[in-house]
Order: sequence, then structure tokens, then C-alpha cells
Amino acid sequence: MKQNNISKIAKGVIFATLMAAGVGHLQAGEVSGEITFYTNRTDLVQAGEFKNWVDQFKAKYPKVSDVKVVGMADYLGGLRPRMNSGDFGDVVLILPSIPSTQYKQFYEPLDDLGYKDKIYFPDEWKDKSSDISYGISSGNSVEGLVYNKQALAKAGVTPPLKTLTGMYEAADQLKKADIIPFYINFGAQWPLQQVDKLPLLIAKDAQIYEKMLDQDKPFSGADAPYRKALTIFKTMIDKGWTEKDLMTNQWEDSKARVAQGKAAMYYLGNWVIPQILTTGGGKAEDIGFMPIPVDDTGELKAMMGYDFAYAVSKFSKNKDTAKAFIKFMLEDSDFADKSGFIPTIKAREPGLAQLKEFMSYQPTIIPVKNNSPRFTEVGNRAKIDFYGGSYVQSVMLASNFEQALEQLDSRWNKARKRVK
Amino acid sequence: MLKLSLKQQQRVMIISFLFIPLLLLCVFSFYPATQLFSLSMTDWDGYAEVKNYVGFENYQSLLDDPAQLEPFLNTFYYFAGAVIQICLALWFAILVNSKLMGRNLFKTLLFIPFVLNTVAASMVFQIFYQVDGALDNFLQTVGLAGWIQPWLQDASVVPWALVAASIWRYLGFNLILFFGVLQSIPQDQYEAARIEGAGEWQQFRFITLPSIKLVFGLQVFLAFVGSLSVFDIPMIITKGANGTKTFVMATLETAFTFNDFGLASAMAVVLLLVVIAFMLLQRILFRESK
Repeated sequence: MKQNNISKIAKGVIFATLMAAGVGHLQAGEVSGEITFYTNRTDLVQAGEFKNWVDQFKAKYPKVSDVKVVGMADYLGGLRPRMNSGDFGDVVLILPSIPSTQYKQFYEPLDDLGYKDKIYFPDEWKDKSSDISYGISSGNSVEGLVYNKQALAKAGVTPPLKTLTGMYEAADQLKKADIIPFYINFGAQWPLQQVDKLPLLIAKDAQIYEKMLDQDKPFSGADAPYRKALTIFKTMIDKGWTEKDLMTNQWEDSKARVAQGKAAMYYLGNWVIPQILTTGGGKAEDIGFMPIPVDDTGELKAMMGYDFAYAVSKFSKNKDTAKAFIKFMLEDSDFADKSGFIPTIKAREPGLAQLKEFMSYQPTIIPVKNNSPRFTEVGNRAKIDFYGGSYVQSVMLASNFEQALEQLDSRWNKARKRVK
Repeated sequence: MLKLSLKQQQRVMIISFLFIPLLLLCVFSFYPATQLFSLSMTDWDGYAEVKNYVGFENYQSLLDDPAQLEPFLNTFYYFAGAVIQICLALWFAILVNSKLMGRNLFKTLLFIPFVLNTVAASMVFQIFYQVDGALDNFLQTVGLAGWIQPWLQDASVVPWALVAASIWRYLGFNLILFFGVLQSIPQDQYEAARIEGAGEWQQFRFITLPSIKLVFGLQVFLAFVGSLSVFDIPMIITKGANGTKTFVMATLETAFTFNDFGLASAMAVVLLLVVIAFMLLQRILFRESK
């Protein structure tokens, strides 16, 4: 009898709590419960940075039980199969290969976070038909030449390099001083996506890629920006201004080489600078950052791009908590500084010293624009993996460069006709 | 309990034991195969909710653009390597089967590469073939520095470099199969032949070869299927650059990089048809000789 009464009271209490919790959740949108975040930053997970941020987040919202941060070394490959199952965490990064028309199937609208014009790239992850935004950039970078000051000084090269010819001459001097002028990381394949960023600078136009959809010879045309972009890299390889071993993936080693001055320059973004300093063991005062010259006009241009975008899964059971976490990462955490990114929220100042040097050369900043779904599909059908690097490898290793460019054009045109 | 006759009991036992394996087979083999055929008739991009039926358009585009079937050419390199592999395996098997000193040690050493994890072994080979890597250093040490080539960079050398890695890895498997068959050949046949005055080569030709014909045929078939579907070795060592992309790599790339599941499924079906064609061919050839 006693037990019966106690169990009745217990049930009553539990029932009341559940009711209150349910009602409370609907009314106040309390930030509570457990969420999972799939990230590509295995380096930050291992370094314990994410643990610090999760602890800070839990301190701010005590009702949050846990934030599981899962790092994936091959993010694109690892998350892709999960997308179809509906189980891809609560906070996730948007895969570049998903067409914007499909965003509503997988992600939650983020317009209620109220960022409209306070952030960089507010329109990039919008579904064009509904004008709803589904993603916010986690950090932004400018692209240019990350260089080792000692290495350039040893070869008698003074930054900044303002012309293409000047850059080639500098490479020659560096080679004579027995230093690798450019480490392009051919063997790792993905760093070759940098080639896809040059046409924007060469044409000084972010819409250059969309214009390719109306061109017959976007690759082999005499003045085509892509021809110039591929020629710059081909020149570097042919003149021996890159690493000797093109085929093996030595990405991690290359950071150490740039840090020590055995390699002089990387054409990458500011996000690589913290990695050179930590993994490569370099000293901050040895690393500089300047825009890359793409022609002989003397005018410096730089592309500003975004990194992965935060999104909330449509299938999340704790959407408010997920949104609060994104807000926390953007506003309160020092993720952007630790990654060497330009913070997405315009009001926050970037912390990286090298960025100040970069901006001192006053390059014209050209923000990148998201590719249209048609561009993505034509690229897919033409089997040209833009920002992937595989097709660049084929072109660079082809015995006949002209023929390779013409083949790219013929594939592009066939795909254009197929995709209306 | 039910009064079942022995025959009925046997039937119940057989069905109940077979039920789970058959279920697994249907779910993980037959169902995906039917999905493969149906997907190859669509233009699904892996994300859309709706799959559009396009008939044989994917197959047509494979025929229209022969460049897409180029990775098939790499099959011939691997098949040539497989032939070398089988001959070597047979030779080693005969040696290991004889009264050679230390034959158990050799057998183990030759078989170990097969049990190693493919990914780990391929990564070691990548370091091995690197410029100034293990192979280059070894050649320099023994004074054969003139033989050093850009193993992975020279387009004419790289297929053979990868084939060599493949031979190293799978030789043990063929060896063990041959060894098992050789062990089952009754020794008195050899005794009788020796008394009759047959030499080593004649013994091999008239006793050994006929006995291993079936296993030999199996090895050739496995070698062909294996060379069609090579994936892990070129993927890890060169990522398919420099013309080393194989058909399975191209299929996976089409699906996951280029979001074209319809075309990738069509490519997989083409692979299946080629394997079936070869199997039929082999059946005919090996039936006749019997």
C-alpha cells in the first residue's frame, strides 16, 4: 500500500515535469538537451579547442546536457552517405555539392537568427525560389601568397610581388638559391582547386563562371581567363618551380617546409597560416601574406571566399539548441581567430597579424559568388570537378596541353547541350 | 510435438538453417542489384526526391563518348600482371611442395602480403615509389642508380609500378590455392612416372597440369574479374592521376563527385555484363577440353 502511494506520487511528478518541459519548450524555446555537431576540423577537435568551446557554451546555457563534436577527416566523403538517412547531426556544415534547390529537404531556415546585413555572404546559401537562407559561413578567407620572409630575403626577393613577370623572376631567383619557389601540393589533389580561383582575379569578375555557360571555348579560347589560369600553373610545373615529387601527398610535410624556409610560397588562403605555425612549427614573424599577381598591370586583386557554412538539420530534435550553438560559435567563440579566418560577423575584427600586412597592399577585394545549380550540373555532366583538382591534374600531366584544353571545351559543350 | 517423418524433419531443418543466409543474400545482394538496374535507367543525382526515368540514355552516352570507357584499358595492364602472377604462383607452389629446405618459411613469407591491410600496404608502396623514396635509395645502395625512374610520374612506367604492387599483394593467395591442389595429387603417380623414366618437365606436363586444370581455370577467372575491379591500389598510391584511373574508380567518381548516380549505375551494369560474358567464354573453352 505504501509503495502504491509513492509510485502514484512519483508518476504524478514525472507527468507534471514532462508537461511543464513540453509547454516550457514551446513557449520559451529553451536551449536545452543534447546536440551533435559534425565538423571537418579534426585538428581543432584533437587540440581540445572544441572542448573549451563546448564548456563555455554549457556555462552560458546550463540546461544543455552535452554537445557532441564529431570530427571527420574526409568530410565530403563521410557526410555524403549520411545525408540520405536523415541522421547527420543537429549542427552540420553544408556540403558544396548539394544544389540550392535541395536545401529545404535537409536544412532549417536560419532567417530567424537576425543576421541579415551584419554578416559577410548573407545570400550565398539561399534557396533562390523562396529567398530563405539556410546557411551561414563559419569563417571567411582571402586568397593570396603565403610566404616565408627569410626564404625570400635569402634569394634577394622583396615583397610585394606586383606583376606576373615579377613573380616568375622571383621564382627563378628562389630556385637558384635552392629553395622551392611554389609548393602547389599536386599530390594531395585538393590544393589544386586554387587554379579554379584564378579566373575570378584574371577577369576581375565574380560572374566569370556563369558567363562560361554561354561560351564555346571557355578553356581553350585565346583570351579565356581559364587558359591563363592553367598556363600559370603549367609554367610553374614546367620550369621546375614547384616541388620535385608531384605525385605523393605531402600536405602535412609541406607546412613544415614553408615554416622552415625550404619552400618559399603557397598560393592558399589565410586559413593555412595558423596551421603553418602550429603543425609546421613556424614563427609568426617569419610568415607573410600578400596578394598574388595574375598579370602585368601592377594592379593587385584578391578573392574573398567563405569556408563551410553552418546549418541546422531539418531532422534535428533540438533545433533551438542547434541555432544557439551556431550563434555562440559566430559571436562568442574564438573559432575564427584560431582558424585564421575573417569572422563572419562584420563587427568583429580579424585577429591574424598577417591579414593586416595583406590589406596594407590595398588589393581590390572581390567576394566570390555561389555557383548556380546549372553551372554545378554542367560541370558534373562534363566530368570537370571544379574546386576538386582531379581534372587539373589530368591537364597538367597531359602530353599535349593545347589538346587537353580543347578536350575540356568539347566535354563542356556536350554537357551544356544536355543540361538546359 | 508434431509427428513429422524423417524426410519432413530434414526439410524443416534445411529450410530453417537456410532461411537467414538467404534473407541476407536477398537483402544485401539481390535487392541492391535490382536497384542498380532501375537506377541505371534514371538520371538521379543522389539528392533529389524524384528519380526521372530516362530509358537507355545513360548507356547511349557511354557509347557516344568512348573516352569514358578509357579506364577499361588499364584492365589489360593488370590482367597481364595477373598472368605473370599466376605463373609465378604455380612455380613457387611447386617449389614449396618439393623437399626444399625452409619451405614452410618461404610459404609464410609469400602469403603474408595477402593478409596485410590493403590500405596500409598501398600507403607503404606510395612511400616506396616516391622520388628519393625507399626504391630509389635501394637502387643507389646497390649501385644501380642508372635504373632510377620517376616511377609514379612517368606515364609509361606508372601502370607497371602499380601492377607490381598488385602482384606482390595477391601472389600469396594464388600460391595457397595451387599448393592445396598440388598436395592432393597422389604421389604414386609421380613414382610410376619416374620409374617409367619421365623427366621433370614431362611429369609436370602430363601429371601436374591436368590435375590442376580446374583450379587454374578458377584462378584465371578470378584474375580477370580482379583486374576489372581494381580500386584500392591506384586510389591510394596515385588517386587515379596520370592515367591510372580504373573503371571502378571512374564509376565511384561519377557517383560521388559528379552526383550522377544514373550514369554510375549504368557503368556498374556494363561491368557486370563484361564479367558475365567472360564467364560464359570460359565455360565454353574449359568444357571443350574436358
